[in-house]
Amino acid sequence: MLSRPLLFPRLARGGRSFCIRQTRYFAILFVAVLGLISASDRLSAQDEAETFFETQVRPLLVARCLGCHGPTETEGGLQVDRREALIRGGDRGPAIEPGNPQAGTLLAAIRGDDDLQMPPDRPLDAEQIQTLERWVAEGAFWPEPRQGRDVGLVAGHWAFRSVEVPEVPTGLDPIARQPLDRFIHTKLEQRGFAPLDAAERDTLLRRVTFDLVGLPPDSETVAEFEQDSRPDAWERQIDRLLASARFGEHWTRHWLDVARYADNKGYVFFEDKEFPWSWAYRDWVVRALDEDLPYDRFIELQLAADQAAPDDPTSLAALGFLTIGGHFINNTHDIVDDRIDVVTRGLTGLTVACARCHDHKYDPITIEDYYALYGVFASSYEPMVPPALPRDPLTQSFTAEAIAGYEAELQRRAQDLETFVGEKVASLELGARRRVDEYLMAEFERRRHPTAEDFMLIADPDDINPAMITRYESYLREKVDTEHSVWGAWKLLSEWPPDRWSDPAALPEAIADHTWDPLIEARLLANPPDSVQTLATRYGEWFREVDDALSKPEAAETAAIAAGDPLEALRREMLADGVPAKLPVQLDWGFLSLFPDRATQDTYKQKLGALEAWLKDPPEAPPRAMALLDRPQPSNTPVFLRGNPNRPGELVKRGVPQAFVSAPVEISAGSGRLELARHLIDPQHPTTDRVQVNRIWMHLFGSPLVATPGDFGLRSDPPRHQDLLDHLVIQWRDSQRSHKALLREIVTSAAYRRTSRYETTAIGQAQQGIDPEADELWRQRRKRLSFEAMRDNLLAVADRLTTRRFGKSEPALASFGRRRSLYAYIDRLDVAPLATTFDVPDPAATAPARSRTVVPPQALFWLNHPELEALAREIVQHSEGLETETGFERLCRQIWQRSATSEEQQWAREFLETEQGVGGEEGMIDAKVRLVHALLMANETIFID
Amino acid sequence: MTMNTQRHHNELSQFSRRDLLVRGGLGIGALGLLGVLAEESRAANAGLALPSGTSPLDPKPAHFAPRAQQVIHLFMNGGPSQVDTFDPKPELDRLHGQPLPESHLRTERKTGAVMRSPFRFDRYGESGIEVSELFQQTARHIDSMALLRSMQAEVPNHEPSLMLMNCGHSRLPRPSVGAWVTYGLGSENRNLPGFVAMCPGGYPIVSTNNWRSSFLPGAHQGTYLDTQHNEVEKLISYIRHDRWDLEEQRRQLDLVDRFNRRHAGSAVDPELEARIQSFELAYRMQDEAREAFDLSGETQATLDAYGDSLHGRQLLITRRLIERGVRFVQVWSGAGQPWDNHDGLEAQHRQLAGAWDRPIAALLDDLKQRGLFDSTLVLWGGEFGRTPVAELPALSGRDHNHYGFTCWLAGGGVKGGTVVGATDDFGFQAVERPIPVHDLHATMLHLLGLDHERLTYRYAGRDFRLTDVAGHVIHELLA
Repeated sequence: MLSRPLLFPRLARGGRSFCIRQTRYFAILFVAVLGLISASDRLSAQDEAETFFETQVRPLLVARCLGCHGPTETEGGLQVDRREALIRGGDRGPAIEPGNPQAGTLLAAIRGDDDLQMPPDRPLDAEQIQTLERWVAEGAFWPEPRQGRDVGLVAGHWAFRSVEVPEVPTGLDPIARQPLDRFIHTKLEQRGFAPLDAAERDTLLRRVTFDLVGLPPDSETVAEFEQDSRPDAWERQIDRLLASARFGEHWTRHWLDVARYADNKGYVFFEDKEFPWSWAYRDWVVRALDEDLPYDRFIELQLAADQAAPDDPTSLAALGFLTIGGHFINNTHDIVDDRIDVVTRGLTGLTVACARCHDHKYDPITIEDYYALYGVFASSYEPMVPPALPRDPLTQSFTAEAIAGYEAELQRRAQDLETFVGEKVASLELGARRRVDEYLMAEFERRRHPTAEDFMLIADPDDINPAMITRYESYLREKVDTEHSVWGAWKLLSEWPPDRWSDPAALPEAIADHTWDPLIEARLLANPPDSVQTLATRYGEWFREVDDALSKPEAAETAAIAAGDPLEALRREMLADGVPAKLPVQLDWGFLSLFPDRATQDTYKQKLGALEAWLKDPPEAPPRAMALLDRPQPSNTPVFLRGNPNRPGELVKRGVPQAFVSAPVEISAGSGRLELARHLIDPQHPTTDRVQVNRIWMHLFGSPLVATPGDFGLRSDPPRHQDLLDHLVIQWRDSQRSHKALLREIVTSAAYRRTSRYETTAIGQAQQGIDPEADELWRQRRKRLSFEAMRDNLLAVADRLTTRRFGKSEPALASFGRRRSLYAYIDRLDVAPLATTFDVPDPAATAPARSRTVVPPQALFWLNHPELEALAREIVQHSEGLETETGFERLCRQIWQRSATSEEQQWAREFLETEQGVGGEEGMIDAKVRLVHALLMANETIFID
Repeated sequence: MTMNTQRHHNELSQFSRRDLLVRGGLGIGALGLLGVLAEESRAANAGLALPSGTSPLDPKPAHFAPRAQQVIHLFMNGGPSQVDTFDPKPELDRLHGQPLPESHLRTERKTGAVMRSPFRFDRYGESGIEVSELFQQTARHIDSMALLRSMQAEVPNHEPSLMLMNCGHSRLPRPSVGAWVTYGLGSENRNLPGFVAMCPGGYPIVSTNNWRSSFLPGAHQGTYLDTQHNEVEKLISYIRHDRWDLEEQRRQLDLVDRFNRRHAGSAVDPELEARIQSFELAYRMQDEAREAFDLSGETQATLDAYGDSLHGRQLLITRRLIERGVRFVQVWSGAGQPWDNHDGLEAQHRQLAGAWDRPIAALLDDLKQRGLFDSTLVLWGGEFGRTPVAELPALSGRDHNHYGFTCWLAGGGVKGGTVVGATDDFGFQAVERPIPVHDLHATMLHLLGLDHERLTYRYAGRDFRLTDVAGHVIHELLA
């Protein structure tokens, strides 16, 4: 155990597990503690410090502080369960400074030095306070975690161990058709279970056709297969289905659940809510799956096609994976969060989004990991004019002139918008330079009346800019202190009590105590301000003076004020990167929040609307890739303390989550999306492949191997068949991560082909009593068709389904039309109630698996939806002699892909006789419609046996 | 036992019928008993039921003894003005037309001088609580109501505030309160949706997100009814067949049942059985749902009490749904944001409140008369309130105000004649016992017998709560 390398260096920082309060972890902790004891047979030199910490400090923190400042509650933004967290501190600043008991909020609060007395219920006694003081004074020792405690828990977690080749059980196994069967049979034998036989051929073909292409087999194919005595008859069917043009469509729908696909942004204020080209992403996925693009390449392109395939513009459409998420009223942080979530949870089964406000409570994900990813996505942007994709050759052939005319107008509108935005940003920067006095006073006001959060407000065009106030406020609070050469005087003096301004000695004293810019000191002494307002006014005058100097024509030539110029310090505070008055120009959805005045917004709306309309409306408009590109100047992001963007903490280098990094990931230029993609698909990454293989299994067996397909973290149970899962992962990697190869291996196994009907044998009945979910895989599970497959099935059996693929989204699912459900428009703002009723997931976020509910509104759809009757009527119109035995037999084969039984024949005959009693010819047709409708509604139509 | 099997609900539930059955109160051994027969006793008062555990809307036990069973949320979308309704501020009369002496809080738009309330306030009931003339009939019930005068939202913008009030988070997609409640308690009537959202004339802002189920199963989503319509066919999707009558459908269903029984054979498969039963339920629902929305059986006295108006009809339907065991009914003022009176507030508030006052009073009377009041929690409020200062430039209305506003609760477990919290002298900001929306949610769940910290759903590797990491029960208003 000791020899295991530290897989997770980021965790090597102490004390996560001791503070987990939930009872159910005690068992694990107990095991973990045992590991600790056995590992620590030799005592180290740090022992005294550790003993002191473990016997006196840690118990005190746990007993008196952790309830409110631990992993579950973080009052005041403070967590006291790790040394780093204490040094980082909370809303009131750092909690400890190791070695200095006079500093930090922790000791001050327990001593009651200031207004805050902690713990609030009952103060610590003198001895306890001394304990903590001694601990801080001696350097705040916190033991490194050892194997068997934190790291052991993480490194030992089944899903975090890298995938190793499991040994395929050997020995005679006449039933096994694939190696995977041997894993299952070994377990079955251990439990004394017997696998059931394969299902009947018609059942098998129906099952595999729905599973692989999402549609029923036609009755001729079923008949052929039933007659096919060749030994590879099954494999032939599999090859045919995998090569089918329907294959990619079906598996794309599965993938779109992961990708939280929708055709619009959700609620946005007044811009166009449509994504005009979401479908181009969907079509890219269809093609990729049809072509069996290796999964690593599939991921790489969806995260970084702009860099991974620079020579193939069509693959830019793959980036829709990142950009088709919701827009959250265009809140940048939430958009980035959504992208982090779809990548981490969707692809790796880890919930990094938890770490937006604090380190993950269980998994090895830190807040720094989150903001490293934040930097990656914040360094990427969506171009206002997305890259064009090839025009549809069938519907979009135009003359060169027409296309040139289109392009010219596009240029004009884009330029018009860009110019406007540029002007507005320039005017905002100008205001920030020339109205420093007003911004300072606004900042001062906010200090006294802090706003809880930013909000959208409506201002007048000549107001000082609220976003700029926030920039000043944040900059002055977080980035500068009273020693700052330019702002130090403002920071210090603006906090003076009113009477200090009239004390003639106060200002010289303050200046003597600090080393501010000499020019500022001199001017202050020469003409002492008498209030906060006059001080702000002085600052305003100084900055205007610099701005005046810079705007003279000769200033442009000298480019800058020379070093040593008395105005240099002020100039730097006006123009350097990162100062409030220097705005990064972003031509994207961040614009509106910068300009809350109606006049600007109206103009922006009008210019943006003109561009958006031109991009999508004219017949010449090509489809476009919803691409994400790297910003020219990628940047790093600070941690937002408690997730609050107005409380920036330490800068984090953009990068990948550190838990599974085998070799350092260097991001030199660019956003880092490509490096991120490569990290995720590196075979060293323990979850990426497992997550996808588990999903595939879920679709084929109705239940995944890992019960929580969206969570492979510490709280996920190991799968019952972990060796099987890992075996499949290895096979998958050996086949260049081919979906089709994996599917072929699984569906040709004995396990897949088993009957789901336990009731037909005594052994099945006995085993069902012990293992009703068939967790041991001794039988197949009966599956229910997804809503999309169910709807496609109806269209298929009524012979209404068109084979047309690709293109713009069709009307929503509730109307039937002729096209596969995959092509239906998905409205994020108003998800079709019918789809929700049938468990289609909300596209608000990645959906690892679907719920499976049975509720009466589903049955109301079957009973009363007008399309059901219409489809039944079409079937009647195309069927001859439904009232005869051969006619009904044909109907059964059409809808259920099997022969009718004699009792079914009789029921159908009786039904028609009763129903046609009234109404003659019309009545007969109506009776047949109700008969067909009854077959469509029956369980057999929507369950796969 | 592995570490996750005892969770209240988790991702497993999507796959494991056994898990559902265990949680439904039946051990594995009871599997064989599932089916129609086992359910008939329950069916007697709630229509036929699905096999236990198969429907997400099965009635479920509360965490502790509930004070209320059902919820009516009267949503005054757009933001009603507290200083013109339930939070009188005489200082506004004194300072009308003058600037606020204290700091002027920033809201969405620019505001100017103090604007007095154009409405008269009187004392009502034994508690003597003051209510404006806008809700003078509702105020007859003041001794049954608890006013929360110190509500606070997070920002003065509609969209995030609607999301906060309905889903507990300003921006991120979270399930709505009604979805959480039906998730926690199921619904008593299986022939009707468990959560109904009525809004006449179309959707409010952010549309169906207001009653979404988000990551909870879709069955918990609110069923939207456009109550501008009268006919049940327009109210509920596919509630009846265009051409076939119930007898024809019955014969057809009997045939389906034969096919289904033959298909199942001797297997006991809860999912097959559940679907069979869902057709029987749906069949009955066609009648019961029609009946629930058919007001022709109401007495003239009842009809007169509610009044022949849109909201009168909405609230009479509400009472009928509550009577039939629907768990959560949300009633909106109308499409868009009707109460958003940035200008012309006096006339518009008078008209809006005028349309609501009598129906609300009638609803409360009616619930009391039918013995439903003590088991029903009624919530009235908007997504925020309005400023005590006039909005520029028209100076005839008020801007959004999230710093302080009023909601009220009445019914099961609520201490009537109570005022909790207070705003400052002008009604701008909550100064005494500020109540974040999470506290309101925690209290609502508490009254329903649910501990807001224990009502969790495992999603994305985390146990989510309606109240996120916040929320305190407002004990002052508990009876």
